Amino acid sequence: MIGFMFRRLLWMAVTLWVVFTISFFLMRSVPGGPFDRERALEPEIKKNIEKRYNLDKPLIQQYFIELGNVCRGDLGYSFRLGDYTVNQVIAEGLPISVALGVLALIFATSLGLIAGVTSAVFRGTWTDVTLMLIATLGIALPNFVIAGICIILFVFKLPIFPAGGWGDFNQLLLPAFCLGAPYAAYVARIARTSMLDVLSQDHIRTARAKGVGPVRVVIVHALRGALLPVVSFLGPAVAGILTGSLVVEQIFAIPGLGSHFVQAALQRDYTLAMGLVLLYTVLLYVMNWIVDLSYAVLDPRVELE
Amino acid sequence: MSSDIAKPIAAVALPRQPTKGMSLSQDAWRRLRKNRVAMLSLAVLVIICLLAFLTPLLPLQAPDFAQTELQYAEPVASPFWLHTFKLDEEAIARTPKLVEKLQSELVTLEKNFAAARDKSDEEYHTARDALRRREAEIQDTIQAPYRKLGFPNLGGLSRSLVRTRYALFGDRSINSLCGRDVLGRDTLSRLFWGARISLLVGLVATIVSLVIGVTYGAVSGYCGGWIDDAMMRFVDVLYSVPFIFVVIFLLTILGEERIADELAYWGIDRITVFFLVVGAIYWLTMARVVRGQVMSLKHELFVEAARSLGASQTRIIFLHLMPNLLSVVLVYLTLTIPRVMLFEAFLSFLGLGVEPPDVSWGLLANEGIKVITPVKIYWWLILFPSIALGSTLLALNFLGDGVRDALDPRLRDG
Repeated sequence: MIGFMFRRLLWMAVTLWVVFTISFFLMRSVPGGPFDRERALEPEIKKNIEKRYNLDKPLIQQYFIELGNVCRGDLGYSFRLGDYTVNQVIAEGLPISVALGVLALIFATSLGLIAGVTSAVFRGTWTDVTLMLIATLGIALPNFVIAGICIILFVFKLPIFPAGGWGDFNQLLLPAFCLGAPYAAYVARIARTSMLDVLSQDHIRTARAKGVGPVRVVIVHALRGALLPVVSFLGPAVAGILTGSLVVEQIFAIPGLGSHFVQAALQRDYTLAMGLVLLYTVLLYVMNWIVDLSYAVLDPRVELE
Repeated sequence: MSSDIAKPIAAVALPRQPTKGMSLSQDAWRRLRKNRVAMLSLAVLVIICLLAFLTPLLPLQAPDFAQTELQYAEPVASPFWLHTFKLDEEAIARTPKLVEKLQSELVTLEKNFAAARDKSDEEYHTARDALRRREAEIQDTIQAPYRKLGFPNLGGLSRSLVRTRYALFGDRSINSLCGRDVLGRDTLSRLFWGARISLLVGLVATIVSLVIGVTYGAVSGYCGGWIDDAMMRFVDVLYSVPFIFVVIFLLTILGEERIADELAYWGIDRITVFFLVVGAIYWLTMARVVRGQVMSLKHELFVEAARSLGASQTRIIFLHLMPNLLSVVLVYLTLTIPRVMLFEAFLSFLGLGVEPPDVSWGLLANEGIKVITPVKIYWWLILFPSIALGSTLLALNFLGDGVRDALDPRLRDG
């Protein structure tokens, strides 16, 4: 167990190092410095700026300075956002993105599980067919399309939710739903298959034969076994929700990390973009790690090696 | 003729054998044909692909023809035909001569450039720039009559299709059934032209990922041992990188003006970069799946037989193992295409994918969502791109599920 955690940590470090190194050299290979403007800067000013960002030293030395800084958790200054350091940007954006992501994940799992279990229990009926059709639609439609339709319906036609922005809980619901919807669809399909699988097993028949009620059979006896594939899907789901937040934050004008990342990419703010890539790598690793651990908790037969 | 005669004879001469075996693909096709949803999806997809391919032939308005006085015009169906499409055939007839003249000058410029290679940097750059400018000029001369109407840069085939269309339909073009956008461009024709890019990206990027993934997986699985270990470790590391962010980062750097110029000169435009980059992400799962299949196949008797006959490693991998991977690869392929298309739409939506004057469905949806205001919703700008993208992706998903069920009933999962 401890060995497993330790090895995971080691691989995370290796991955981060690879990502850092590749993006560092890519960044530096771009012709023209980040401070090339329409109007050339005064040589003194340029020198000062380059000194601040360590751009006046040889490349290898820059690399090790930056690597040392990153190891200490200092991601440097943002190229474009004035006096902000990358860490400050993250400190402001991360809580927002995490709140959005967690709510989306809750939507995805709860809606998906309910739909999946229902359609497995009522297999072959119209309920089943309709739910699965909706699920396939949810998988097929990109989340910006879902978001566009939701905005038209719930903001303009039926003014229930605000169109965007950030602050109170109401502003969070619609984006979180749009972000979670495709993953709810996946969860529903996975839950349906695994539930059907479990429901045909012997212990369920035994439970029914003993006279356990249908609701109890499904919730207590079957659900736990059916959860495993759903849990193993949560790793990719988290990755997808992180990605989807790029679009959803953009549409709903939420000042989270996703919109910062897109802005950084569009405005060629390399330090900020790289810092966020590193952060997302760590997030993804940690989430996968948690998923693996919870897998072991749900199924005692699983051994972490 | 001979086959017509041979058929009935063969039918008589060979009595029907009740035990006639069915190949895997025949069996799968039979099962797929029974799946009505999948067949319907297949039909829809074939129609969409045909329409996309024949877009220049259809009597649509030109996709980039701006009419600002018609900004945000609502969908109209009457009159059905507009008589505004006027192709300047004389100008087209004139171009070959102009191009020929420019081409002859190009030869001397190329010679100059070759000679300048050994000289100073400055001379080299001047010669190169002169060469490039002339090449651009030739391209401009060819495209000018079409561009005037509002077409993007067209290839040779598309140009002749446009000319055929003019011969067939004359100056007629369908009125804007799907409304117009901020520049008064016709949404219907932009949808059709966008389909070309969206579908092309889906196909080509998937093929790129296919080639990388199958080769990598087959080599890794076949070699086994430490090579396999190392190769799969590498895949594991890549798996845990949040790739989309890295891709965006890469596209940003490759989109830097000077790099883009340099790449464009080598014939690598943004869309090609895009194919490669997207293909480069989606090969991971393919590599894993193929590796597993190869590992189970490589101890089969027919591989031993091939080896004992002295077949080389490459021959065994590409000739004996690959055909047996077909079903797995096909299943994965049909599931990858919609994902790639979704990804293209996603990036174009963020403004990092396809760039104007090219259009794709993702870009169109983006344009639609951008102009949502509390005052007025231009619903047609959101609805129609969404329907196009959604129905194609839905059909692809249904077909993918159907193919998976048909080829490998064991693979049924979420």
